[in-house]
Amino acid sequence: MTQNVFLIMNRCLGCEECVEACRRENGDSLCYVESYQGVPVSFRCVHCTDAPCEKVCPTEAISIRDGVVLVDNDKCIGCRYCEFVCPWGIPIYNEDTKKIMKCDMCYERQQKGKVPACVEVCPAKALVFGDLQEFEEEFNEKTSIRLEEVGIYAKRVVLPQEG
Amino acid sequence: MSSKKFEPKILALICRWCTSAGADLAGVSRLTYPPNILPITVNCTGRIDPLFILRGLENGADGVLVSGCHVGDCHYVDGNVKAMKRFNFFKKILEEMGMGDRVIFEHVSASEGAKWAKITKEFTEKVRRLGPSPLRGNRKVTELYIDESYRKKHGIRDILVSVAEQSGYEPKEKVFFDAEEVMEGYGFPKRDPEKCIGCYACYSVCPEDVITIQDVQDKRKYGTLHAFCVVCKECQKACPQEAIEIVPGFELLSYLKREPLWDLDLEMQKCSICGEYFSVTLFSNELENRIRAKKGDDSISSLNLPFNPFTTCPQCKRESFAKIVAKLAHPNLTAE
Repeated sequence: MTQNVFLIMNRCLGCEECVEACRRENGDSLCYVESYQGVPVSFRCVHCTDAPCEKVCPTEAISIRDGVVLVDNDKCIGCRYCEFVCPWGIPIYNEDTKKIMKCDMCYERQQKGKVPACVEVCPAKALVFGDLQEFEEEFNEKTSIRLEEVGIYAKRVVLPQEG
Repeated sequence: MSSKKFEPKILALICRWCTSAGADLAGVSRLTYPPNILPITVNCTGRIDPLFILRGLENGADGVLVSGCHVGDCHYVDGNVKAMKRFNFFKKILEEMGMGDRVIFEHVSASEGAKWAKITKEFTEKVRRLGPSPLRGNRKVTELYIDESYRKKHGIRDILVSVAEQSGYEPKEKVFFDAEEVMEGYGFPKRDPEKCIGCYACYSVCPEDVITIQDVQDKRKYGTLHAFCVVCKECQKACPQEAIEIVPGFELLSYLKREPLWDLDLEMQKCSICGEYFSVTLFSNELENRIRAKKGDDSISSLNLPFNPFTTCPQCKRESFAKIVAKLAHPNLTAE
């Protein structure tokens, strides 16, 4: 079971509420909202199944548990290997703690049965949390074709509706 | 007292078991020695912190005499040998500042009353010839305290800086000390240029924040504020490349000026999109090889990225990602 946070593209308003919620939850924003030609895109860690960050971590501080890529703060030595190898530039280096911070899909909230903070606050319900299969029924033909084109990574974060 | 006749004040730090008894013997044997000597007895010369000597000088002593047992006679096995090493290290620093003749280390045993009288006379004469200490009469005494962030080592440095200022010493070029001359607790991390690939592990784990990394144009420079390095070896333990070794060493110019002692320069590379220098070339090559070794050669090409992930800075990666996703949702978006 690999649940993830998905973005339904044409619902996103670019209000950055998810960024603020992440900052409240984690102390630093681990979500990003970048826009391209006026199209806002909210994204966070993809939680790759064979994460490159986990492969290069010299102290095994990064592990994959229940499909979530987690950083163990006690083991992290702040070498910034993961920041560099991430294909999407997701992990950030905290200058105060001198350790790496990255999205953990609100692992602690999930343990309490809650959804991740960014999903909870999203006013447009553009962020959804769950299995890809759950949403597949709602897809139209075009969505499936487009998802095939982009490869596994984007597939794990976005659900383009007809646009 | 008239100013014509200069009487030096000499602080004598002496060991309880040998020199103290020797000085006593000199008195009992009715030998005279100069009244300029102000002796302070400690249990062993090994107890004499360099701070005591520097503090004495700073408070206006014209000379400092340290005296202990002969080598091999120490009541505590080798306290005097340790004391001698520390003393010689600080004497060399003081020599650089022109104060080296004002400190002396001697060995006087309990039976050498005559020797005690002789060396005190000689040393007093020597200091009298040297004249008053440049620090004499200056009541600007360095404030010392010890807490979590300010250690005894900082105090020693503060006093040395104050001594250098007051004696008019201005370091001009680098003065390196050999490993054998350096007191225990003085050293810095030395990086192996063959092994270091340019990450941030040493910088991140350093508990005293003494490791400095600076990007200067196309070079990333690694250095250490070695004046404050506590030689805890955390960086040596953490280094993923095992490139760091803590070596005993000392350099006076950067110590007094509180500048990092630069150790290694690594060449940096530009981001393929924005063109800013962002990472060490060696670092990206090494990580690319590791990813290829662990995930296979085609793992990177299978991502089908419009940029090379090993030569692109994180900000540009995020922007590129947004671009891919935006085009996915809105295929009619015009190209840039």
